[in-house]
Amino acid sequence: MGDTAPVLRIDGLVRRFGERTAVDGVSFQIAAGETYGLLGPNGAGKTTTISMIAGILAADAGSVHVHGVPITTAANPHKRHIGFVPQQIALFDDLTARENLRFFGGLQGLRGKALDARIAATLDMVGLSDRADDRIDAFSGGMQRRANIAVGLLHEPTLLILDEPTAGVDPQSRNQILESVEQLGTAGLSVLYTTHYMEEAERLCDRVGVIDNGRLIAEGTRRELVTQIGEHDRIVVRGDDHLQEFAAHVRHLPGVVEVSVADHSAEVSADDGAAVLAGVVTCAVEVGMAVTGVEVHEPNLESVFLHLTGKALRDRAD
Amino acid sequence: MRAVWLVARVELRRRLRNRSALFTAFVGPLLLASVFGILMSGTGSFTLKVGIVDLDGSPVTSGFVSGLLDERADAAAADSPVEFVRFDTREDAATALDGDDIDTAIVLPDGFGAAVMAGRAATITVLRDPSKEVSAGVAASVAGQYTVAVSAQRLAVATVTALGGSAPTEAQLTGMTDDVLSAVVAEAPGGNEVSAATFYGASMSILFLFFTVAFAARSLIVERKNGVVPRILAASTPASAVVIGKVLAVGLLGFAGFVTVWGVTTLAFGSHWGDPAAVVLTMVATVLAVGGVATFVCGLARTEEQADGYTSAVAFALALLGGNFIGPGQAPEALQRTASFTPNGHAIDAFTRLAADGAGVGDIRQQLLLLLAFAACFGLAGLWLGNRAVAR
Ligand SMILES: Nc1ncnc2c1ncn2[C@@H]1O[C@H](COP(=O)(O)OP(=O)(O)OP(=O)(O)O)[C@@H](O)[C@H]1O
Ligand SMILES: [Mg+2]
Repeated sequence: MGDTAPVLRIDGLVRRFGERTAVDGVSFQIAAGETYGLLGPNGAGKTTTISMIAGILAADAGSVHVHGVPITTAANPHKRHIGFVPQQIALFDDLTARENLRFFGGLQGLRGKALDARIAATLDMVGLSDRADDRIDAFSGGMQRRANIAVGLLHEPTLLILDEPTAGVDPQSRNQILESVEQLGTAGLSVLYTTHYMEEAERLCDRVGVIDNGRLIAEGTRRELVTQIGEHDRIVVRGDDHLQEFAAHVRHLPGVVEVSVADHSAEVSADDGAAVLAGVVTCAVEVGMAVTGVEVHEPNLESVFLHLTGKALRDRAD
Repeated sequence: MRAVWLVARVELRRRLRNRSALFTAFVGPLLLASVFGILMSGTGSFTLKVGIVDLDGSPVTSGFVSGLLDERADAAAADSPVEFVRFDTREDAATALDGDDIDTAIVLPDGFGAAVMAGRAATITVLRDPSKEVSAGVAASVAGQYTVAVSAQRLAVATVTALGGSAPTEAQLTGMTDDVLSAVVAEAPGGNEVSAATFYGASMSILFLFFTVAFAARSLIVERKNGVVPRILAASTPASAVVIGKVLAVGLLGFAGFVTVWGVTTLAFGSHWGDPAAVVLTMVATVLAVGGVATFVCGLARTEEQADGYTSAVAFALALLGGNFIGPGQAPEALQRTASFTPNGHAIDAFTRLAADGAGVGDIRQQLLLLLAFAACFGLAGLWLGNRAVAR
């Protein structure tokens, strides 16, 4: 496992189901400690891509490397590095959380005291310690989701793959899940996170790949993506006087792209709103403006998606 | 290997926690075996009372008759299924037959001995009760054997006389009956001592084995859909380990059910299954064979409903063709022929031999080999289908 090799590298992955090409030449990499979001609408090919990465679905073309080692559907001890959390609750619902963990931990080669210790740690991490000996079918939807994640974390993988881990959960569980993922990312785990909730991608992911119709149509940090499609952060400064004077001055600040003036406010477009905010406010004070409010609007991935595909990220039903 | 064991263990744990699986493995076969055992116990344990009327009283016939009666006395100790009772007149025998005191009767006519010695044709009459075909068949067979033996003897006598020897002695005539008698005892239907409880215990266990094994196949289909199987494979577990683990678990469960039925019928019904080592071997071979067939059948199914439907259809068809629903030794000839195409037929054949004939492993070698052949052919095909389905 070369130190220089990315934790995950996929090249030109293709998978067809009959006539339909579900994944059509997808390539990306995930560095150590990076959280990568795969953002796309229903049927975009997220689960199909992830299944090939986890080595449970054969690719028609392309390759998957984890720490530089190729992964296929063949049994391979290197799969130990992958923690796979499927989109469904892939657990025995007539067994308890602990029994499920013991089984899957056993398959990963853990046993005895080490296994017990990992089970305890993982249950704690997902907040299920006090329900460890309840059957999965007695869990709420959110608890089942968390147990589902626990199995993927049990054997301390270096790459955690989460396929829509918050689908259909209540806000409380969702928040708990997002916090856990944030912590794991901070702790140095590489995470591949699929979702069609752009808020989640924005909150969790260092980089995002936008996937539609089996193709990766854009990739980068949120800012890179936003810049790529020509969108800017907007700073709205509210006040009643000296608006024109403010606009004339602020236009010359480095980083400011455009300024427009309305009746009781001025709007400043910039590549990085946060970076120019101080300069913009100072400028307003200098021209003697009585500022009544300042708002920063950052364009989101929703608008990126809309721009790239001409369609909304989520169906109305969601 | 470890994966197989883990899969098997978790499968067993879940089956033992599941009421319908427990019912299928243990309660179902016991319940049906008990019901059938009680219903059929009249015909199951076969004893036949045969009246014998000697109107001749010649040395030829009296030797035969006293031999039968002696044989009866000896055989009582050995639990002979056939019992002979002497009557003085044909009318007495007919009355006893009407009153159900005997099942059939053999009448040796006056002048039978003389006719035999003179080389003339002689007729033995069998009195039969139309409702007891089997019994009459046995009696006719006894008479037939006797006639054959007598004819042979007559030929011998004629030869001896022609060569200028002396007429047969009484001792020779008595001795001649011995052959007949040993043939008669063997001729009783199936030599049948298989109690109904043993027979139905074995056959119902075989029937329910299909359903127990089908639980594994069914769960495989469910878990492929709900993501558990993909998740197991993601842990670098070979597909074959999943299939073999599951089949192993339900095989063990089926075997445990089999042994339970054996124990309970022995304790509660006093049934006798025969040589324990051979019984265990037969059970193992049966579990393997049925496991193989059931795995194969379920391997053809794509949905849970199909798995359930195919299993029931095949389980009942094989049980019917294999003669599992028809009492011991009562299967018509056509059915005996179809039975040889089913694992059920060979299994029940082996169990019947063990219970009735006191056979050992050596005597049921053929049945065991055939069962293992079923296991190998269908099992391998089933595993292949299962693997293919799991691995996609
Ligand atoms: N086993 C399969 N057989 C046939 N088609 C399939 C199969 N799995 C996926 N597909 C098709 O491939 C395409 C991509 O599906 P996939 O599940 O990867 O989408 P997704 O991005 O995960 O969607 P969602 O957000 O709804 O989970 C879809 O059109 C789907 O119908
Ligand atoms: Mg999906």
